[in-house]
Amino acid sequence: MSHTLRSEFERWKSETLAKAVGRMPEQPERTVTVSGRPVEALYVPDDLTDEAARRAYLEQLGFPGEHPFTRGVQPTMYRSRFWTMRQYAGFATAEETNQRYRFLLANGQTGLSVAFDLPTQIGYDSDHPLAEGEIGKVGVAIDTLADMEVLFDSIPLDKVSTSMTINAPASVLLAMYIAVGAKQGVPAEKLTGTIQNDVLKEYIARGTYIFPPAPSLRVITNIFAYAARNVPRFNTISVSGYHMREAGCTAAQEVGFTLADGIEYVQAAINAGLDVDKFAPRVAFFFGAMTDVLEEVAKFRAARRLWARIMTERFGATNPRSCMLRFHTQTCGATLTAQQVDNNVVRVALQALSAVLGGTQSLHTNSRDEALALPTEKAVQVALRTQQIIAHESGVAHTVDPLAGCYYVEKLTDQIEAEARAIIQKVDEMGGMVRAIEQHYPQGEIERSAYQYQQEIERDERVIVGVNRYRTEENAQPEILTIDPAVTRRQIERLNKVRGERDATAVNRALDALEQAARGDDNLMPLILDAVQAYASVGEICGRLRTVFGEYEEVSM
Amino acid sequence: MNDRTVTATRPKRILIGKVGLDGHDRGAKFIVRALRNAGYEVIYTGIRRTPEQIVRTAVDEDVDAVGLSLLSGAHKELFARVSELIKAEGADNVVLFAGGTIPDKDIPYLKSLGFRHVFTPGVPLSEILSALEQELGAGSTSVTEASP
Amino acid sequence: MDALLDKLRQGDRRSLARAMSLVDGQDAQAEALTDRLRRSTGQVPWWGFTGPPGVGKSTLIDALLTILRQRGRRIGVVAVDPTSPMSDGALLGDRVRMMRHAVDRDVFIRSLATHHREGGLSDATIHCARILEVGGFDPVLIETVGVGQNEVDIASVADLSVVILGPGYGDDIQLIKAGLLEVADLVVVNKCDLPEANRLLKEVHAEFGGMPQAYPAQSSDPETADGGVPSPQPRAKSPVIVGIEAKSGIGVDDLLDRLLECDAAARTPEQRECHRRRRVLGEIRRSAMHRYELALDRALSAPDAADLVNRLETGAVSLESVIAALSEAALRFDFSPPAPRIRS
Repeated sequence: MSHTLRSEFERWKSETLAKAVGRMPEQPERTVTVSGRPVEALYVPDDLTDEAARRAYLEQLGFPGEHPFTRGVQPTMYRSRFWTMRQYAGFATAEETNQRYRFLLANGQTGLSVAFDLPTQIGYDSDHPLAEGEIGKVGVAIDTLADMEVLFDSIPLDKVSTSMTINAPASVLLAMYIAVGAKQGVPAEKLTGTIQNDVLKEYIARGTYIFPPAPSLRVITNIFAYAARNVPRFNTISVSGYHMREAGCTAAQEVGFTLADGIEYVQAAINAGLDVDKFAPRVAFFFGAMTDVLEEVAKFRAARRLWARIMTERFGATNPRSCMLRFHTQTCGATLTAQQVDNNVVRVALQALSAVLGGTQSLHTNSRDEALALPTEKAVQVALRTQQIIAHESGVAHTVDPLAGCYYVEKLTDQIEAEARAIIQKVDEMGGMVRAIEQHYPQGEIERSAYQYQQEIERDERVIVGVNRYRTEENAQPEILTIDPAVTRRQIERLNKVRGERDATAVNRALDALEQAARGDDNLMPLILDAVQAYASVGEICGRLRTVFGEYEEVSM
Repeated sequence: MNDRTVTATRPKRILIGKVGLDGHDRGAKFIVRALRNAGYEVIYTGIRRTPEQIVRTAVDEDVDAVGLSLLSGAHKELFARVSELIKAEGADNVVLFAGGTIPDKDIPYLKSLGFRHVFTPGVPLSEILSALEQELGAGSTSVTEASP
Repeated sequence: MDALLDKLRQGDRRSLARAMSLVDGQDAQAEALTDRLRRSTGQVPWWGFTGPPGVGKSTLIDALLTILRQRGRRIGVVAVDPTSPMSDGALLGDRVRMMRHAVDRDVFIRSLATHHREGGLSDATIHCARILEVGGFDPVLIETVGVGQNEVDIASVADLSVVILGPGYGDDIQLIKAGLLEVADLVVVNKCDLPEANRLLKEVHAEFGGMPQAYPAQSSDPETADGGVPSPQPRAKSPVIVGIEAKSGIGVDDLLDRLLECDAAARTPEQRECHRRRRVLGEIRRSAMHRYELALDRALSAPDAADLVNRLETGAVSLESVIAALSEAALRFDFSPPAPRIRS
């Protein structure tokens, strides 16, 4: 007995949708167009007569909130609640960043996103020789728990969700976040947020790695296990494609390599004895949004469908939440030009639109001056308003997956899924992502795509408005943010002060215990938590781990 | 088809370096390939190099030019260090140039350090190549034998 | 010239580097220097490293540098990469894997391009190795481009030739193994953390291990059989075979010990004289052949050559007479090196 598409649709409406609406009601203003026309939650081709076509629809698209989640991981999507508007921020010292956070929260931002400076990301303290010139430049400098306390001063961790872009030392920063919460009286179970914690893409495209792959994966699985028990509402990994896209890969490569990384993490966790249906629901993803709107929409849909299939086919996941690809999106910085910077506002708007049409869970929009430096407050505000205008004025959030059924988008979705699958197959043949990285496979593919893209621009085969076409005489550059050189001095002063005031014996004891555990098999998180609470620094903790794990050496061209 | 002319002068040698902790190497890798295709001998340092490593390499390899790529905002401090070390080595003939997210207002300072060119985002490759050609001469000069 | 040589002997970095640039061109000043260098070198062991691209030569050399430094040696490295046939440029990509040694005063690494020369080396390789020797570096390691058929150059230049193999070369391995017979004093199989590499190691042992007489690493030269050059003794042992994992350094200590053993065995006065002579003969042969090729090309591009070739095609003249005519024309070319360029 075959169900018609219509009866399936009715079933979805009365069961899945109804349950979701009961939990989170739809906002009335999002159920009509600007002209007052009512808008349904979902549109399907319910007049399809061909049985094969109906089957294809159910198999390939289905319904939002149901496997394979092509149309969205959640039944009502933005009708109930918008994506989280989460602007990445962080610079200089914890005080200045704290002020920017309070500004953003007051302006309607709904979640915090922390950018750390390079020394912090690479596990060095601000007084390390390699930190020279880098302190506070690309993000906030965090050396000890004292900095973290200042960073979240007057920000209630039980009310705010925080995403931390931190990878190699993610364990340390997560421990600090937990410690700050504890000081505020917020138990760890209540904390929500994300740590990026995706070391594989560091080796491939971003470069802020510390340790070699094997010990890094060990620490990552330690975090999974610890968080599943103690910080269950935290997303403990954000498997990232954004940086590989920024490094120049194609849409299909972004999906292929990212999901291949995801597979490697899931497998590592299973190998470490974790139950896939317990930790997979907390695996999140992070993609870029380029300016080719329709290809990006197809990309997001393809990624969702492919991951859902991988989780059931390959890992036998039975919990539907294990199969939901939830993702954060950032508009692609590499598309921003230093020429005619106002054009970037338009680019970002289109990119943000593609992410919303593609069903993202949270979104960061770049500021127009980011080709030049970290953004000014004014520019950041425009970027935030861009999201708010899409949310409240464009109408695209009023129905789920509005571009479904568009011949072009559906075709692209199929193609990208197929190409990504082929890439994953290739990685499998190489023995997994760690092996593939050792053989320079993803790096080489990305370099090739990047080179080709750049050549197209150089030969004027690809137009970048304001750069190789429609140029104008540039006037003075707009005001940009500069980091006060005194930042370095202040940060090092504070570090020395903390070192002077803490109990040195307790610190050493904690670090010794950590080092010993690192040589064995124990979960390192509790020991890292002890160390941060004794005010051991990021550099001291990572330094001990470096002696045990060694350092990763880049595989070259 | 190899024209077996004697190369009386060798191609110019360029070092492309990533100094500091910044790991974004897309631009550097593109330039490395482009310079090779333009006839230069190119040495790439890889990421996360100290000013000392870069200058030592430049001297031992007797390069004609050093190009630094940096996107983390640490250019003023780190490039100053490189410039200082190059001068200390007495390698004044080395042409210094830079690329990356460098605001216009910092360019005069970098020029005062000895950086002859600062290539900011969006500068076309052709402009970079012609600037380098002016400084160094073309990629390779092949000279055929003089007397029959 | 004496002043320069003094500076080189003192190990003055800039002078060493500058001298290497000088010999990488071909002007008369360079020739004066190379002649002097030839006189004053030949005592220090030169070890050549060759193998297919991507097999881990640079990574291995990087690991060897670390261990050699621990043992108190000062090492020179000449790393050769191919010149692009299209652009005459080159990506000199070996040194990037040795950057940890960049600031060590007891290590000197120089990257060179082949400048279209075949055989895995450039003309300047030998000169740069000599400069490093003069500068007090001992041993000198030479890394070449090599895929199996073209390593004969390194065998004539280096005292010991190390061929590195790794998994993943499929059928090329047969070609490579064929080339090995002429060259390898040591065969190193890298990436032995992988099962495929271990299989390869077994294969190599099966093929070469325990051979009673070695390949002759250099066949005796018939023209000089009576009194010219002493013929090298055929080696009493087959190539030494070692499995390693270069990235982590596993097996590299052991490899170094075997290298030093082979080196000691090859350091009898007769052997050393033989190696030196072989090296110089190789130099002569390479340079002369290059000149002859250039001369032939010149003669063939002369206006009357086309006519000659036509006459050969129609059978009006014989091949022998064409060659004789071309040779005569070629001998008339002047190949003395051009005047030195002014360096800015």
